[in-house]
Amino acid sequence: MISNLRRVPLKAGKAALAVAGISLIGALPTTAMSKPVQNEDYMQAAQNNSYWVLPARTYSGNRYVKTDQIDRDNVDQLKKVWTFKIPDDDAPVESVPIVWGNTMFVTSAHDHIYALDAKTGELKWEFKDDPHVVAFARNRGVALMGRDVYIGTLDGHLIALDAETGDKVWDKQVVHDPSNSFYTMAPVPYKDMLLLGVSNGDWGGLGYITAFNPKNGDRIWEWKTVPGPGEPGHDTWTGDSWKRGGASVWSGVAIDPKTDTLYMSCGNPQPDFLGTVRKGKNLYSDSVVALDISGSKPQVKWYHQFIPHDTHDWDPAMPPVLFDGKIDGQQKPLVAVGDKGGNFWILDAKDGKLMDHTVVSYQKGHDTEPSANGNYACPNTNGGVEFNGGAYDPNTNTFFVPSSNQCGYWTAKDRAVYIAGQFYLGGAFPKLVGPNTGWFNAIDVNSGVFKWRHHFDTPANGSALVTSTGLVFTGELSGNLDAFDTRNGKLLWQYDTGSPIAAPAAAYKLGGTEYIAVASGPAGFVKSPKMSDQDAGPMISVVAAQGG
Amino acid sequence: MTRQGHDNGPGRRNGVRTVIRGAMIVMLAYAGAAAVDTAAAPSAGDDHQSASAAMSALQTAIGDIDRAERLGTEGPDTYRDAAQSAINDLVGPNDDRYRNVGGKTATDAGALPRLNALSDRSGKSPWAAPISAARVNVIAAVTQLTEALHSSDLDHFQLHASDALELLEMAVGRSTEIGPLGGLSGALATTGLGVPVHGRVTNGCSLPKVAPASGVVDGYLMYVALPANGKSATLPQALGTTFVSRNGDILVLHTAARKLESKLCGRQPDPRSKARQMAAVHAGAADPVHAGSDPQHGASADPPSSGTKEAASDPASNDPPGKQSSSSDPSASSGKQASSGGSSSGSKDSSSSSVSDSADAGNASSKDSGSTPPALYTEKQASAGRQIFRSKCVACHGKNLQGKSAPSVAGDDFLSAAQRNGWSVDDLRSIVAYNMPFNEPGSLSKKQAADVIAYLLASNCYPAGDKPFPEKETKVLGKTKLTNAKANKPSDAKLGTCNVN
Repeated sequence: MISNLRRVPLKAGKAALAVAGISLIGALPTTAMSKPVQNEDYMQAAQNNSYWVLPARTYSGNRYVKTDQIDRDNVDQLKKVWTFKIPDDDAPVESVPIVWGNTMFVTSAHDHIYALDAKTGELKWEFKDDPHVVAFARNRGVALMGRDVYIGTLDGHLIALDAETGDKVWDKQVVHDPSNSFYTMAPVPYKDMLLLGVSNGDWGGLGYITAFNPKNGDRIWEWKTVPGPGEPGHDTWTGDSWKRGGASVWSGVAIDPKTDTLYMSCGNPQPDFLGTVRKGKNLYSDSVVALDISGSKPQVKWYHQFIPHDTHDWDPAMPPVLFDGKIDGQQKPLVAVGDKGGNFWILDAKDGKLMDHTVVSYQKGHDTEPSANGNYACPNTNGGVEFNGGAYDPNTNTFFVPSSNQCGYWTAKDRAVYIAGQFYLGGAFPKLVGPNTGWFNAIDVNSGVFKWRHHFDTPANGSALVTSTGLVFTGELSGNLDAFDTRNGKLLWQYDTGSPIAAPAAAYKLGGTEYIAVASGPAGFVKSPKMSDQDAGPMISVVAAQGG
Repeated sequence: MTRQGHDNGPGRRNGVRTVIRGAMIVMLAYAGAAAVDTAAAPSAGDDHQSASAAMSALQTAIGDIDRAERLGTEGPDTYRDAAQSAINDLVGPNDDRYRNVGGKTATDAGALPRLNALSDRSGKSPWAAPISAARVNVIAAVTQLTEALHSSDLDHFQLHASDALELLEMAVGRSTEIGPLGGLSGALATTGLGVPVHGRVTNGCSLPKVAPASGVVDGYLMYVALPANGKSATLPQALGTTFVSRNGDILVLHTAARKLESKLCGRQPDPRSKARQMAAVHAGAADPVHAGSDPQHGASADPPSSGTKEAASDPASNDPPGKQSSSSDPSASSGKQASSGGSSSGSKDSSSSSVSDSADAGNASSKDSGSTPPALYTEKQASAGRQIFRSKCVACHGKNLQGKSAPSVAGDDFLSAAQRNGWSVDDLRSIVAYNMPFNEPGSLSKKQAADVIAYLLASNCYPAGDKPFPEKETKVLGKTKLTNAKANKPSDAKLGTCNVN
């Protein structure tokens, strides 16, 4: 039972307030919300660079921002404006900041929420949840809708708070089986619904995405990612294996509001490493699915499965990115996804047809299933393209995405036994072996071939933020936030946050100044032998030209 | 013999792929076939020098490629020069593929000739597998670079240069790995190849009495001993040290070969050394000691211990660590069979029998949270488990076991989940033995896993007894539910955990 005492918002001044760079302690907190967020604000996000109100800035999922201050010539003038050290939660931070008005909302691994002054980093209010951790502690952000802020939690609750004060509005346990299911993804507001996918893909759960009523947490509709009896695709599973088939919806989604089409990545099948008990393609695991969500019940428009019958946990962790790109000389609506198997895919957004496939990580053993005696395959389960994905630059027709080179030594058991609350793997997560590095890839959408690549000494999953002025930002596990020239990969600027970065950067403009914000923190199990021990703890860092 | 003739020249892309695949096959073949030669002596000092020089050449080649990768589009000559420079570093000046670049002349024989010679001399020594793995990866990398050299555009260059870079990183390997995946780093850090010429060698199964010295047994470098007298000292190479202990005035930097101690020396890593263990650096930490002088160790050797010869006949020590782990604990993979009444092997184990016979264990089947939980481990085990937890588990589970990036493993939160989900003690054993640590599952020996579970039980306020926690699955543990009935009063009232000394 989770104590309600742990779900009490703390006002500024009561909590540990850590604002570095410039001292701000003592200033009175300003109002959290200037005005409620409306549907048109989400729709116009691409045209307005003052706020960042969806996890990947716009419904397209593309972290591309029109900037008019920060450019190639002055990026080296970017300096720290403020940092906020996240107190009492020494765990990885993968949250993307949500910025609205003068308030930034960020989360910690254990579902704490911090409302900060976006200009100064001053703490306005703090909400501490600290739920029971079913599997691993991660949170990838909040949703802001109307005057409320929403979080999906590690024990399967959906919680609404007053964005002004942090006071709880409602709290509902909404996963079907809290022993194996939880939330890590940021809820996505869309047309009076909150869309939220469940995380349970390695613990014996069954994947689904749910549309919730933001007023009370009631279900509006739900779509299961593994087809049940009588549904198309059910015959891609043998026996009752579909019942614990996995295919979770871990990461974000992309939406085309013009057609009410939802694009989502479905996770790996279960048991992860024992394919013999679930023969077949195991739909819709390891797939991108396009759903028509215009009606009362979602309808599948198309799906594209990247790795049928995956036995290595190589699911497309990257949230889909929708964009209009030029391919083979023709402008097309496209959707891009990367997977943990080290593949980057570009599909036709209309029908899911494969347009381009680029191998972005070192690969080996893709045709061999893990065995009882063990065998090698690359990437390992944390390699390839990870959950933060990348971004498209319309000016150079280039897609930027980080990738990791790691290998694993895999073993499978002869059977899989479900134990509530524990891994349902049919084997063991791989032992980390082989290379341990990363790339930041610039891929020519027209050809699917690299324009340039930048090599990192550590695995890379810091996503990409592209500016209209020819810059692309990414974070490294070394702690550096980098800015590259989109044209040629020249490193133009670097800032050491002090802690590994495994979160995407965000941009906003406030009081006439453009800011770049990024979260960093302990590496957790992403830590690998060659990484340094540098870890200044979980924090948010904000930079701006000439100190803001 | 020289192996330059085996080194294929330029080919088309399909040919390149074949070479790479061949390289991996060679690596894996070594992983499965290698055996310890009890007669293998530490390498000659010349070999150490040659291996170190080969490492320098590899790193120079990587630097050449890396710099070109970071240049961007600045014309073809830059990256062609980079590819040629890297080839020069790898093949050396006596190879047909060597071409002068920018007026520079070769200062070294080249990585590949050195690796060829080392491979020829390796015999059945422990460094045979990692050196050969490094060698075949270098051969494949040269092939990729030769392709890159003939690139007509930047895309083509980067495609091949990227592959070459990965292959060279595989050749460099890791100081924390034994066997082929260790590559050159692993060979230098974990085998006699890492002992400098004229370096003092001591028996790797005994703690050093003199320093500086290298502890070697059956060709494995178990540790490097340095004087802890305030003077600085230089390590001969990166050791990938994850465990440091102190023996009087001597600082002992244990290498990754320490995990073979039970096989080579006939015993587990010594838990009695708790008082001497000044630090247990978490896996992946940089070498904790750098700087200084005196790389030349003196010349004397301790007599071998009596347990060495017998243990050294065990060939498992050259298996890849993952394979070694899974084969060393076959029971771990069938933990649930026991809980459902399957395997009877556990009853043949003396330690598991002791638990089966325990009256306390019978009590533990009760779901009554008011009952006294059973005594399933000894204090000594829990104490040893604490040390292992501190080095292997604390980064994700927290020093108070409260959970950080991973769930809690002790206290009210953990025990509530355990009761809610009906976890047995064997469920706990199975996940520790088979799935942990996350990045290195199955790497704990059976004894280490038992010690860690003992520590977890102690932290969950279970009482200690006089019979150890069994190293194998037992039927009774599958029926023994984890309970929140604490035998000892929690020392941390907030978390509901007990301190373990």
